[in-house]
Amino acid sequence: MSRKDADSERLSAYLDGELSPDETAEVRALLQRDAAARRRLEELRRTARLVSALPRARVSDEFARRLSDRLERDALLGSTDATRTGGPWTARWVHGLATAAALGLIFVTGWLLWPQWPVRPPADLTAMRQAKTQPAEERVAMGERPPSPDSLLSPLRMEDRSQERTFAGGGDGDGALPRSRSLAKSEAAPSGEIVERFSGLAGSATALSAISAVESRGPTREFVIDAEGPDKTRITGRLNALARKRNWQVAPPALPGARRDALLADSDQGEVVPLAPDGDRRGVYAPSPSDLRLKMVRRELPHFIAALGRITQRNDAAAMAANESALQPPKSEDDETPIQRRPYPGAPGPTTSMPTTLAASAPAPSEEWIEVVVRFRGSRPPGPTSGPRAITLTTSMPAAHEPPEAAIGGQATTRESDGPEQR
Amino acid sequence: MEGRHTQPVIASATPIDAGDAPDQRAPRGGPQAFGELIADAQERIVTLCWRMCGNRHDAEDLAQEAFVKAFRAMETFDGRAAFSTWLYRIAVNVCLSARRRPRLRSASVGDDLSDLGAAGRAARHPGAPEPLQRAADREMHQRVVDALDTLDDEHRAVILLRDMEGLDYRRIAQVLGVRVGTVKSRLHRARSALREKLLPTLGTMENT
Repeated sequence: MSRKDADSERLSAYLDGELSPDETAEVRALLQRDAAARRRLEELRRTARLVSALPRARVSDEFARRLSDRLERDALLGSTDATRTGGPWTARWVHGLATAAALGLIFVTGWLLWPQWPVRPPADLTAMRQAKTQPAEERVAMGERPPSPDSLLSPLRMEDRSQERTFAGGGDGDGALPRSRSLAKSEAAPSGEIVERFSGLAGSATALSAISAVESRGPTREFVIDAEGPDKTRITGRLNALARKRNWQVAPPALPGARRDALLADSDQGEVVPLAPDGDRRGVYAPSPSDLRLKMVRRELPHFIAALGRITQRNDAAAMAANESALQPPKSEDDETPIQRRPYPGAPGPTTSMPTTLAASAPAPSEEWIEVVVRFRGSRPPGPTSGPRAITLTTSMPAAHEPPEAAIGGQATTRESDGPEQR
Repeated sequence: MEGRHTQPVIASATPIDAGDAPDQRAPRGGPQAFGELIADAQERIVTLCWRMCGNRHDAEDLAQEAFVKAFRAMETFDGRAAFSTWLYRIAVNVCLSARRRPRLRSASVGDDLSDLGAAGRAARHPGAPEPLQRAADREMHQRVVDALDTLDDEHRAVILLRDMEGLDYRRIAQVLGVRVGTVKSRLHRARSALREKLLPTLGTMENT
C-alpha cells in the first residue's frame, strides 16, 4: 500500500472516529499541513453523507402481516423450505399426493354443493377491473375522479369515491393558490406503475405557463409544459439560449422541412444540431412537432430543472421573487471558461457554430448522457373556468415476481480477504 | 485498532438497538413474541436488503426470508453478539446469496417514489415547484444508487452497514465475519470508488 493510500485509509477511519488517539493526532497534523488531504477528507465526508441520505424503506402493514402469517405457518407446519426439510423423497411424494387429494376433494365438494360455481363476478366488480386496467390518466381525462390508493386495494372503497377529497383539489381558479401548496399523492396502479399526482401547482390562474408533468423513462426525462403561443416561444427561446450557454445539445424534431422551419422561427433562433446528414431521425424522436429535445450530461440535469422552474414562472411575482435567487444554477469554478463544444451524442454531422464562452464544464468522455424532452401542450386559459390540473409524475415499476428460493444458512459467506486488508 | 477512541466525525444512524453489547438472553417465544422482537428492526432490514439488492420488491422478499431464517435459527442464537447484529448478519447473507441467483432483478430502477426522501437535498432549490424538487431529488438519489451498484457485494455491504446503518467497525466485522482491519480497508476502498463515481455530484453539493 502506498503512502497516499495509507493516508487516505486513515482519513476514512478518522471520519468514523475509529482511530486511536495517536493516529488521530497524526491525521490532524496531516490535515493541517496538506491541503490535498483536507480536500480528500471533505470528499469522503460528502460521499458518506450521500449514502446516509438515501431514502429508507417504509414497511407497510401488509408486509408485517405477511411476515406474521409466514412465521405462524412456519411454526405450525414446520418449514416448507426444501433445504431445511431435507426428508426422503418418498415423504415428499406422500405430502404432495395428500395435498393434491385434499384440493381435489374440496373442488368436487364445491362443485356438488354449488353447481353455479364458478360464478360470474358482479357487474360492478367487472367494471372495477376494467377501470383498473385503464390508464389512470385516461380515466382522469374522461372525467372520472381518480381512485384513492385505498380504493385500489379494496373494492369496497369504490363506492366511497364521492366522499373522497377532490383529486386535483386545491386549485381555485382565481390565482389565490400559492404554487408551493402542492399535494402529492401516490397510488399503486394496476399496470405496475407508481403514479404520483401533484395538485395545486398548475391551478394558479396567474401562471400562464406551468410544468404539468415530469416523467422519467430510462435515460429520458420528459417535462410537459402547459404553454402555447408567446409563452411557448419565450420558454423555448430561453431554453435554447441556456443550452448554448451550458453546452446542452439541441436536436430538431423529426419534421418535414416546412414545419421544422416554422418551429425554428418559433424557437427564437434556437440553434439546431443535425443528428444525421440525411436528416432521417425515425425511431429517435417522437412525432410531436413542438417537442424541444436536449441532450446533456447527467450532472447538468439539476441546472436544467432549476432553470426550467425559473423560466416557467412568469407572472407569479411572489413566486418569482422567492425562486429567482434560489433557482439560479449553481456556478462552478470553471464558469466563463472557454471550452470546446462536443457534438450531439451519436451525431456524425457537424455541430453548428457556438459561442466559445460557456458556463458549463466540458463533459468527460465517460460521462452519462441523458435526453431531456420538453413537450408543450396548449395551456388552459386562466379564470374561474380553469380548474385545477393534475400533475403526474410517473415512473415504471418492475413486475412482481415470486420470492426467491431459500438461501444459505446462517453462516456468513463473505470470505476473509487476504493481502493488505488483514491486519 | 480494535477500540474506538474518538468521536465519529460524521453522524451515524441509530442502530437497531441502542446498545451493541452482546445479548446473553436468547430471545424465546413463538411467532408473536418474535414478531414483537423484530418490530423495530423491520424497516432497517428491508432498507438494507433494498440497497443491497437494488430492488424494492425483492427487498421485502429477502427481508422476509431473513426474518424467517432468524426465527427458525433462534435456538442457535448464542448471545455472543447483539441480537440486531445477528439479524444483520443473516440479512446480509441472504442478500449475498440472492445476488448470486440469476433471476433476482439486479436493476436498481423502479424505486418506490413514496420512499424518496432526503437524498439529493443538496440539489433541492427552496421554493421550486414540487415536481421539480422531486425530480432533482430523484436524480441525485439515482446517481448514488447507480454508483453503489458498481461496487462489488462485499464493498457495498460494508459501506451500507457503516454509512447507512451506522454500525461501528467492530459490529460490521461481526456481521460480515471478517476482521476489523478488513472492514477498515474495505470501507476505504468502497468510499474511494464511490467518490470517483460521484465527483460531479460532490461538486454540485459544494456549489449549493
